[in-house]
Amino acid sequence: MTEISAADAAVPVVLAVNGTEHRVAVEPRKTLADALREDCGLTGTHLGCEHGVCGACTVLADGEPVRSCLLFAVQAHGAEIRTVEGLAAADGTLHPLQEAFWRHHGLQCGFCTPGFLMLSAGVLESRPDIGDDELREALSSNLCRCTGYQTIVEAVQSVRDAAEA
Amino acid sequence: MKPARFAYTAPDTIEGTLEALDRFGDEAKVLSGGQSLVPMMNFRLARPEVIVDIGRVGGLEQMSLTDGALSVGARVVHARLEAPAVTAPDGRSEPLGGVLGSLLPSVAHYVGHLPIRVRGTFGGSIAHADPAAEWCILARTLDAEIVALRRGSERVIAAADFFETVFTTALAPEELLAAVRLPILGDDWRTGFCEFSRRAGDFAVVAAMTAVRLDPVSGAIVEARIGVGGVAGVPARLPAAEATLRGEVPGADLHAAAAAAAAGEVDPVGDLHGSAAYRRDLVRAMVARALAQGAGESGS
Amino acid sequence: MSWVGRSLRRVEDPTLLRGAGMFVGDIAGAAAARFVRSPVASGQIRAVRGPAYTIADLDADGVGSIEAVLHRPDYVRLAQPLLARGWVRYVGEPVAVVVGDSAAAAEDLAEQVELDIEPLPAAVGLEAALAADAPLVHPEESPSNVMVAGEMATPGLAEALEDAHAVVELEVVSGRQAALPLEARGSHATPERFGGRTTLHASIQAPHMVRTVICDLLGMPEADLRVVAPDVGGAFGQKLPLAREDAVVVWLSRRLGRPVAWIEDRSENLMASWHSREQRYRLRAGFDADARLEALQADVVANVGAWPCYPITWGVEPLMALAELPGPYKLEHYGVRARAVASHTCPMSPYRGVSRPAITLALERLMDVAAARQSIDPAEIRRRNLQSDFPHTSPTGLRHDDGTYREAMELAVSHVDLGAFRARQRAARAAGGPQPGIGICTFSERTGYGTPAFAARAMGVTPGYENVELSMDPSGYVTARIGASPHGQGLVTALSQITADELGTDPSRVRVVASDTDRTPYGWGSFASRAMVLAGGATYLAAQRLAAQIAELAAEVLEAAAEDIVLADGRATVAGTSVGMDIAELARIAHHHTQRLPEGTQPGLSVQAGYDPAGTFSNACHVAEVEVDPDTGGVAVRRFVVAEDAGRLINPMIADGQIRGGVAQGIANALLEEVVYDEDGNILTTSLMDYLPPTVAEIPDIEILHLETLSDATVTGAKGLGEGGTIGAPAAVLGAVNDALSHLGVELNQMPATPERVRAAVRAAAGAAPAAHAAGAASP
Repeated sequence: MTEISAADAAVPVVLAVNGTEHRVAVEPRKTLADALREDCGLTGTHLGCEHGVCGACTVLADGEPVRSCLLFAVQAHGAEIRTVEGLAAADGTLHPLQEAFWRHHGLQCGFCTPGFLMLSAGVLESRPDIGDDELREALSSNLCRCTGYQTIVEAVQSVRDAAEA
Repeated sequence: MKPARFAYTAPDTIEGTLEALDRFGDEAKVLSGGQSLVPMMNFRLARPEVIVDIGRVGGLEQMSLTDGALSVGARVVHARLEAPAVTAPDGRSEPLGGVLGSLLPSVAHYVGHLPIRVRGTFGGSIAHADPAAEWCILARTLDAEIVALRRGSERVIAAADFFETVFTTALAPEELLAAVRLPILGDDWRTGFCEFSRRAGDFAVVAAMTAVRLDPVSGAIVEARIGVGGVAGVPARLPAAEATLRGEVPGADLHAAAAAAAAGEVDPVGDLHGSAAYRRDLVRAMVARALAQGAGESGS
Repeated sequence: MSWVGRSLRRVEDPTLLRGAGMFVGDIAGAAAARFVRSPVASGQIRAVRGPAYTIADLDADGVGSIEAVLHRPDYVRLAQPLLARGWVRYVGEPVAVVVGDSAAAAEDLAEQVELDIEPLPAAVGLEAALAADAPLVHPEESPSNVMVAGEMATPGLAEALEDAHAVVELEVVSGRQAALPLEARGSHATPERFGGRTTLHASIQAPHMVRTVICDLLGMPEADLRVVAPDVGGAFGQKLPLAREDAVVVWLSRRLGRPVAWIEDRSENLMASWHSREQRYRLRAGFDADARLEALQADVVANVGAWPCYPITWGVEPLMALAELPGPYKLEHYGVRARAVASHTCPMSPYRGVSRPAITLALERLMDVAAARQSIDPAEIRRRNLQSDFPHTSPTGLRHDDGTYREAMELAVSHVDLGAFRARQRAARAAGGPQPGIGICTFSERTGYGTPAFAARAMGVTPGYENVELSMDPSGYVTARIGASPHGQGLVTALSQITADELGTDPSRVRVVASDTDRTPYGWGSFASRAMVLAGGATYLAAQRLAAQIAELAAEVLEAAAEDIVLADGRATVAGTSVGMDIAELARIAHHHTQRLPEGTQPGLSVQAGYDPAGTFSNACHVAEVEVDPDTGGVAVRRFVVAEDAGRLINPMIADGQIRGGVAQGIANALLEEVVYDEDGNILTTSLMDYLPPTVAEIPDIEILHLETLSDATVTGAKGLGEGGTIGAPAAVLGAVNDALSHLGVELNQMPATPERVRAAVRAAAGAAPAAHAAGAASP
């Protein structure tokens, strides 16, 4: 019989986040988003709706963009997680997407920004030559309430184009 | 919006999963991709006592061709259906061709957004049984078969019997949806899928799927299937509208007549996203467009 | 070289881009508060059982009630308790509060609380609340649900209407909407272990005001409460009023002697934060034979929910409509009655644009309908009616300073090439299928107003001025401490540009401190398209004063006349000479070598300035091009053009960002977003699958054209523009939808124009006799 974790148990989970192993103990009900924020101290992953619509909590799990509010931390045991905190280089140099969002004014309040950055990173890493229409469709996964989106699209396009050139 | 507490188990075999389901019965809920279940848990609209996570179970992620059907394993994620590939008997993966090979990507495209499609699963969507879900409409329209396992036995449930009402299926608490078998459609089939949603990626207000088989000589329709979602508690076939098509040659007038019959045939339930009258109008528009798409005309 | 006018990258961004922003939910180490909310719209509380605090606990501690006041004879004054007392008045009203070790634990506890409430009949929609036998929301204080009403008429209105060549009557409806900042509300209060002070971090727009009212409620000296607005994830008006939850969190933290946080979830935010915009306009307008608007009579009602918001009150929407309905048009005869109608629904606060999206929708629909009736072009009727002689005084006494009302329209209309569009439209009508339509909206936006404008509203407190303290430290860097509280608008960057210009220094040497009552002078905050004008103006004045101080110092040290000192490129130079000194060196002297200065010189370099202007008007023209699917009622916005005149642009990139974001919200308001209640007052839109903010797929690229009329009403020449995008877009989009379907006889005057409403309008028009609408369907 497979092991059962009790509802109020603190289940040991290893989260490999941005290349660092975090050994945490969480109730089964704790989402990956909450575990990242509360147990790993990585508060760059934001919660905007907690029902999978807004995408503010988007992180990369094994390279793919996922809603971390729709994933329990226990499910992520052993997965390679990347969050916005891991986007810049070790020496602090901004990731090209971060630079592009800055240059193109792709953020205002900044609350949706980590989610959009991770979504974009996941999309461009798997489809570096993605076309404009498909890119727009992929970016429709997340909500931004400030920018009207145009500058976000332009920022991601500029990174795609620079990588292609 | 934090879920209520639940106990958790993540078996790594089908046998272990069936054991857990057998033990916990209706206290348990299977967690596949979680893209429909977890939001409901976060709202505490779903409060299972035990979560049986099948994410580590091997053998549920295959797509293969067997006995004239495409078998889609329960844990195949939506994204894989955007470019479907099947495992050949020799173990190699090859692109799925034929009518299904082009139909499935066109439907998968409507399922949620990218992050939902990379996590959410085909089997999870069928078991969740949202009446507007694309895969449920497809399964119902094509008379798919649902393979359900329980400890020591297996049964096959016809889609017509599987969907009982909103979020409710014929699956017993002890049963695991293991795979869905979609009949292979020959090259004489023409299919269309159209949906209307408020925003990109939203659940459809109304969606329609059509599949007609043409006589290779006369070009007349010999078999017709029309399925709609978003009008009732389960995805529905529309026999009266199907009847208008049989024996006729596809064309704009015929499609309009079938769409009118479809609109007359449904008895939609209104809600926040559309009154009964509005949904009836959408059924007419979506059926007409799906038929036109199948016939290679522009959708509008 | 001037820094103002350049699109500098924002200094705010790197922190946010790294995920290193500090939003209130990011502050660790607090117990979690969760509010137990009413499940019924109206009812009498019989008992609250379980591990919760109720109003009885607040009463026992002598906590006061919120009084949002308008000093008007017909205003119904209420004392609003921080938790429901005796009755509940809307679904989501906080009745009790629990505290748990985590958000999940608090939610578990909240489920254990049993609310025993006897349901009572509820008045939900406008019609229900206005009915003669309507259930009353505050029966003890008011015999009707009308909570404040304003009425006025210019002499000769009735005659003008009677004598008009053409009279157009129109009913325009705006649905209930939510501002929906992506970060919901939240607060985190920490009592100091010793000394009795408390720090409140909250996601708010006006920290000083919040400090005042919470201290009043809790009986604390203001000096003992520090209020900080950390990074705020959008607000759009929803975080301007006092959240009663925030006051309860401060009370809880002091009572329990531990940090307590309340992080609102999305469902609460949609159900129980604040709503906006539910209004109905009935217009009766007289036009002369040349389609010139001569007289306008309006009846405006606003469903304002169950309680007023502090400090703006529930008069803000209807009374703004009363004052500003004439808009950008010349109008002599004007009469209006505007009423705030209470109902058993979530209270209202101003949301980006406040009443003006609905005002503008009503007025622009009026213009389009009048143009169609008289068979003239929508641009032409506006051309004939827009104000062109400035300053212009409206029938309600508002002074419009210099603007480009007509020029903006001509610019936008020529940019879209109306002629080519009409050719495309004719072809589409012949072909069937999706139908293109174009809509024009011209409007003016009252912005940047200070105390005089607020005083006219007769609120219990009068917001207005902004203060800035500016100092230069010994290293020559400048710190501006501002009373305003930016939250995403890029104000820090813009103020550093203004400061740098006046001081001849580089913006990178300017720091802006905001949103912390311990570190900033008293001020009002960021709302009403005011921060750039008010905080910008105060910063400009302060920077000039500081420049004068530096010049005097330089004059002393360089032995020149102060008026000959030029500050540029980080140096103070005697004009016409090469004699000069680094400003940083002067800053050292001002702090560290005051013995070199004449006796009596004030040590250091610091100044203060306040700014409190009467206000100004921005103006713009929006043109929307849509495609409507008559079969589904679906609307896609294909193109959107904005010609905007907001005076001097301090940072054009930031200005464009404000416009684009505003337009996106306006498009969503026009087509997608609506808060829906059933007739019993149950709210149906408590998720983002039911309340529908747009994705990128619903928002087109937005083409922006600028005019720059330097305002003489503000010291910087800048006018505000934060709300303009949202004000104009709904009318432009609705105009375009109507234009697309005009050949079918469709007239749709309700927002949001949901697919179902559009489809219903198409059906209704098809059902009507074709001849009946032919006259109104003229398509120029």
